Amino acid sequence: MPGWEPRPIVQETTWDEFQKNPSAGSHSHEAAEEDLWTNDHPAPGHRWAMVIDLGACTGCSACVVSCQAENNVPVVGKDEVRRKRAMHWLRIDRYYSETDDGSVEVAHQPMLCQHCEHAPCETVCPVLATVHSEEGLNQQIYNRCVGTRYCANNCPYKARRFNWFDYPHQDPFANLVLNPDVTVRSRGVMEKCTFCVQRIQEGKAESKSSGEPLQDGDIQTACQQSCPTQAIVFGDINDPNSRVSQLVKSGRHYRVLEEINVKPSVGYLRLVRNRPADLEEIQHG
Amino acid sequence: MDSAVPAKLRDLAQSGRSIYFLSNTVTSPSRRSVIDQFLRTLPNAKHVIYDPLSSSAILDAHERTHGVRVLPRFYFDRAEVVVSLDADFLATWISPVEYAAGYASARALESQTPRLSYHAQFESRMSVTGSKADLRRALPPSEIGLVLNQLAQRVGKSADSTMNWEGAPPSSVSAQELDDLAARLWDSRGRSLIVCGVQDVSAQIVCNYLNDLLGNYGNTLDIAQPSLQRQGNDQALETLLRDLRENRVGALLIDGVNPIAELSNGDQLSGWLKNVPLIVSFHAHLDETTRLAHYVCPDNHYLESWSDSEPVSGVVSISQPAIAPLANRRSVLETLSAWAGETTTSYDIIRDHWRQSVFPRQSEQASFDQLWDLSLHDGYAVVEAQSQTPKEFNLSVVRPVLPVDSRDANALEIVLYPKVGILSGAHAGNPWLQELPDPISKITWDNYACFSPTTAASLGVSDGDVVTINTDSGSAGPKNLELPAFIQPGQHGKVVAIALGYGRIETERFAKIGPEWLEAKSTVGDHGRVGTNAASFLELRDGLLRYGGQTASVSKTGKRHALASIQDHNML
Repeated sequence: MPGWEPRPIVQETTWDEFQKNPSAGSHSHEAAEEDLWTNDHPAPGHRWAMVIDLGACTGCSACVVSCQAENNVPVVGKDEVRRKRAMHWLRIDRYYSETDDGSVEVAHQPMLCQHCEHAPCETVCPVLATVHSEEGLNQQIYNRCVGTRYCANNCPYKARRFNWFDYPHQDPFANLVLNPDVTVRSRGVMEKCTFCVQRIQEGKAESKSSGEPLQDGDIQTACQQSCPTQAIVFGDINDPNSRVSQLVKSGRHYRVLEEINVKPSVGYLRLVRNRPADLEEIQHG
Repeated sequence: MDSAVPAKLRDLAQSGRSIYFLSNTVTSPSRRSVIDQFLRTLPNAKHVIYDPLSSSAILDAHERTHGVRVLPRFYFDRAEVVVSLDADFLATWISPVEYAAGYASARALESQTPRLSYHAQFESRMSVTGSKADLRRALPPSEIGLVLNQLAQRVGKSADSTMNWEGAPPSSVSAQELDDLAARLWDSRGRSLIVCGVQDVSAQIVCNYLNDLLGNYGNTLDIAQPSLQRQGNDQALETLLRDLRENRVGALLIDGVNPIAELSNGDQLSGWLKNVPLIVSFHAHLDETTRLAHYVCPDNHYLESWSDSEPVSGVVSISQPAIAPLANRRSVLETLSAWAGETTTSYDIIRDHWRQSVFPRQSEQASFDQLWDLSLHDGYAVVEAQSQTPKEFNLSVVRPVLPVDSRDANALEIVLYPKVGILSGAHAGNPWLQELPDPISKITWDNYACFSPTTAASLGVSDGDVVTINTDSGSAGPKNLELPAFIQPGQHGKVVAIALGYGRIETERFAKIGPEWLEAKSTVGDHGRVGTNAASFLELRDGLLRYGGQTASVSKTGKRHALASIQDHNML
C-alpha cells in the first residue's frame, strides 16, 4: 500500500538473541526529539501505568469480554460492526507475517487507550472534555463532551469509541448486567478505556478508610484480572517496588509508536520465540 | 410437578422401559451423588454423560493402555518441550485457562533465570495455540496421526524400544524436523509433554506410548490424580441413541446438554424424542431440546445457589450464591432430592455430602465444621484423590496409526472446530460472546467456511461468497451446507474448517439487536439465526464423536453474505 512503511508496532526477537542481549530486537528511538511540552506538572502521588507481555498474550480475548462486562460497553449488532462502530474499549490486534518457508506467523497485541502523558486527544478538544488527571489518567468527561470527535481523529492508537446511538437499555431484566459503578453513556459522546477508574477509586477509598497504605496488586483492572497468563500488569509507576515499575526496566520493554513522543503510560514486552537466531528479522505493522 | 413427575417415572420404570439421565460432565461431587441417589430409586435407570466437545478418545485410550478410563491432569508448567497435535489447548481444548496459565509459567522471561519452553504444533487449521507455537506445521487431519508414528519410531529408537515401526507410513513433515523434535523430546524426557486433540483411539494410544517412553507420566501428566473435566463416554451416547431409535426409552431427563442442536441428526432425533413418554429438562433457556420437554424445571444460575466442584481429583471447591434467584427456579440438587422423597436445601445437601464424603478424605482438620469453614474461607480444600490406581503400561495395544483410506488427493477434508467465545454453543444466546471478534479471523456474529488462500484462489471464491459444501463420504450419507467463505492464511490447503455452536434457536432474539434506524440491517442471517449449525457434519461413529474428516466438494452459489470483520478497523 503506498504510504505504508512497516512500523515496529509488534517487536519480536528469538530466544537465542534474547539470551545474548535482553534488549535484542529493539527499535527504540532513545534520542527522542526535543519536547515542546514543559515538564511543569509534577506527579508526586500515584502514577498509574500498565505493561502488557506480548510473549504471554495468547490472543484468547478474555480481557475483551471482561472489559465489556466491567465497563458497560454496549453491544452494537452486526450491521454496526460492519460500519466500524464496534464499541470495545480494549481490542486485540492480530498481525500476520510470512516467514521464508511460506508458513504464517501470528502476533497478538492488546490495544487500548495508552493514557499518553502528552495526549494528542486532549489538546484538540474544544470543550475540555478530555483532560489529564494528576495520577496520569487520561479522563473523558461525558457530560462535557459535545461529540466533535476531534479527539478520536487525533488518537494515534485509535482507541476512542463514539456513541453513534443510544444503545438499548429498556429491558429492566437485561439491565441487571450493568455495573452500577460505571456510567452508562448516552448518544453523542466519546468514550474509551479509563484504566478501570472505578476500581482505582474503590481501592483508594478502602485504603483511606482502613488507614493501610495501598499495596501493589490491591487494584487490578478487569482485563488484568481475567488474563489467564497474567500478561497484563497494572500498577503505580511511582512506587519503585511495584511489579509494573520492575517490568518497565525490562530489556524487552518498549512503547508502541515511541517515535511520535506522546509518552504512553502503557508499555509492551517484546515477543520472544524459541527459534534459531539466524532467521530474518520480522517486522509487523 | 413434585408429585406428577416421580409418579410417572415409577410407572414407566415398572413397565420395563429404560430411564436415562443425560448430562454433560458433572464436576460437582454433590450433584453427582444426588443424581446417583435419585437414579437408585428407579429400576433400569442410567446416567449417560456426553460432552459436546468430546475428549472421549483420550479416556478410552487410557482404559486400553493403563486400565483406567480417565483424563490425565496436564502440567504445562513443568513441560519444557510441548508437542501438540491438533489440540488447541490455549483456547478451546478441555481446560484452556488452566493450561494457558501453566504454559505461561514455563515461558517466564522476566523471572530471575529466564526460561522459555519449546512448543511445536501440528494442526490443520489456524488455531490460537498454533499462533503461539515456535514450530508450526499445517497438515490435513488425516495426516496428524502419522506424525505420532514418526515421532514414536524416533523416540523408540533412543529408548531402545523393540517396537517395530518400519511399516509406518510417512508424513509430509520433513525427516530433519522430526529428527530434531524427537531429539528435543528425548533430551527433555520427564520434562516434555505430548497432547493430541484427535478423536481417534489409535492416535491417542500412540500419544500415551510416547508420553510413557519419555517418562512423562507422573511428571508432566498425571493419571493417578486425574482431571475430572471430561467424563463423557460417546459409546454410552451411542447406546442411548440406539434405544431411542428402537423406542425403548421410557423417560429422558436432560441436564446441561442440547443434543438436538449439538448432534448431527437433530431432525431425526427430535422425531425419536416425540415417542418418549416423559422428557424432563433442567435447562434455564428454551433451547432446541428443552422445547420438546414435557416438564421444564429450570436449574438456578451458579451465582444463585450453593454448589461445589472437583475439577481435578483431590481439589474440591465450594461456591456460594451471590444473589437471590431472579426467577421462579430451583437448584437441580433440590429438585432431584425432592423427587427422591427428601425435601431439603442445596446448602444442606452439599454440607451433608462434604461431611460424609469429603471430610474422611483428609486428616488435617479434626472436625467437620473446621474443614467447612476453612474451605469456605479459602474457596477450596486439598484432599486425597479418589480414583482407581492405574496399571502398568500395556504395550500390547500399541499399533501404528493407519493412514485413512486412499482418497482423492485433491479432495478437501472437513474440520469442525470450536471458537474461543462460542465453544459448543451452550452460551450462543449471550451477545457479548457473539460480538467478540474471533482471535484469528477477527469476525463477529457469524461462522463461515475457512479456506487457505491457494484453495480459495483455485475455487475462485473470496470472503463472503456463499458456497455449498457437499459430502457423501460420511457414515450418515450425503450432507450439504451453505456457508459464506472466508480466506484463512496458515490453514492447510486441503481443509475446509467450520465453527460449531452457531445457528442456535436462542439467537433468533438478535434479529433486532442494535440501533434501529433507517439504514439498519439485521444481525441474523436469512434463516433468522446467527450463523449456521454445522453439527450435521458431525459423526458419531464406532463409539466416538468425530469432528469432521469426511471429504467434501465445494461449489459456488453466486450468492453473497456480508461478514462483519473488525480486521481492518483501527489499523495502526
